[in-house]
Amino acid sequence: MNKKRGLSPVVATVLLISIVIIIGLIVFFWFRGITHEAITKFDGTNVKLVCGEVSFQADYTNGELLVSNDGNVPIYRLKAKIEGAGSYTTVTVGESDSSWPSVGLNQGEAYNGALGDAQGATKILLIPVLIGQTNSEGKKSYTCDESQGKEIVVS
Amino acid sequence: MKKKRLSKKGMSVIIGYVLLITFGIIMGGIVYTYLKTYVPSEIDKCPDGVSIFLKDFTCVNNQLNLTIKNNGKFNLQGYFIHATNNSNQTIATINLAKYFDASLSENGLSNNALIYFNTNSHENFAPGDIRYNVFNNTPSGIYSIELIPARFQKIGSTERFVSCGSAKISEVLTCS
Repeated sequence: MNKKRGLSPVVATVLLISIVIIIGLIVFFWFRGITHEAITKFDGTNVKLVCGEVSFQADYTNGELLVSNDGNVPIYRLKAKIEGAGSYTTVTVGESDSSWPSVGLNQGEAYNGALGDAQGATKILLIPVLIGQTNSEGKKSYTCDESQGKEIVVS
Repeated sequence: MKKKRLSKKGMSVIIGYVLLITFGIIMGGIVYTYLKTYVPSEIDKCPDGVSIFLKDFTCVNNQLNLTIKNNGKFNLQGYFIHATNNSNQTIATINLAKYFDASLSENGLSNNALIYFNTNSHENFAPGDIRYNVFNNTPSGIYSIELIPARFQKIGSTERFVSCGSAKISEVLTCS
C-alpha cells in the first residue's frame, strides 16, 4: 500500500521559491528590454534634461552652415533635417568634417562649413546630439528631441 | 512525561513580512536609481548683470587693438572672440583668439579658444576694469566682431567655467 500523500512541504517550498525566482527573472529581463538605460551627463543629470539647456545660434547662407555655441553644453554633433520640395533628407553635421572639433563644439566655439544636400532646401532643422555616459556601454550619443532643435528658414 | 509540542504557525507570517519588506526595499532602490537622473541639478548659468563693453578699437594692417571694459556687476575671467568677414554673415565664426598677441597686450593670455586674464581664478577682470588687448596677423576683411564674456561660477560646491551667451556683444568694425 502506497503511503505517500502528495509532495512533502520541503519539496513544495523549494518548487514555489524556484518558480517565483524564475518568473521574477523573466519579468526583470522583459522590463529591462522595454526600458532604456538612462544616459547621464555632467553630475548624473539625465541627458534628456541637459538637452533643454543647449543654446546655440545657427544660420545658413550661400551654402554654408554657421553655428555658434552660446551655451554651456558641448554639442557633439548636429542632425540636420533638410526639407525641400516634397521631400527631406537628414545629414549629420560634424561627421567626417575637419572644421568641426572631434570632441564637439564646446562652449563659446563656432563652426563654419558647407552643408551637403541642402541645395534647394526650404527649411533646415538642426537637432543637437550630445554625448552622455551609461553604466553598461560607457560613452553614448543621444539625439535630442526635434522640439529642442533650431529651425532655419532658407530664403 | 508529556512532550511539549512547538507550534510553527507563527514562522510563516514572519517570513512573509521579511520577504515583503525585502521586495519593497529592492523595488524602491531600483526606482530610485532610475528616477534620480531625472532630478534637475543646478545648471551652469551666468548671473544677470554680467556685461562687457567694447570701449574702443583700432584695426590697421591686420592688427586689431581692443579696449574692453567690464561694465557689469561681476568679475570676469575671460572672453571668447569671433569675427565675420562680410556683412551677410550673421554669425561670427572666425576665431580671433588664435591671433592674440600677449606681448603687445596689457593683460591676458590665449589658449586658442578664449582670452583669459589670469591663470589664478581669483585674480580676474573686476567690474570697472579696463583691458587693452591686441590681435596680430588677423585675417583681412574683418567686418564685425562678437565677444562672449566668461567667468568662474560657483555651482553647488564646485566652481565651473561658464560662458555668458546672454551677455554677448557684437560690433561692426571699419578696418583699413
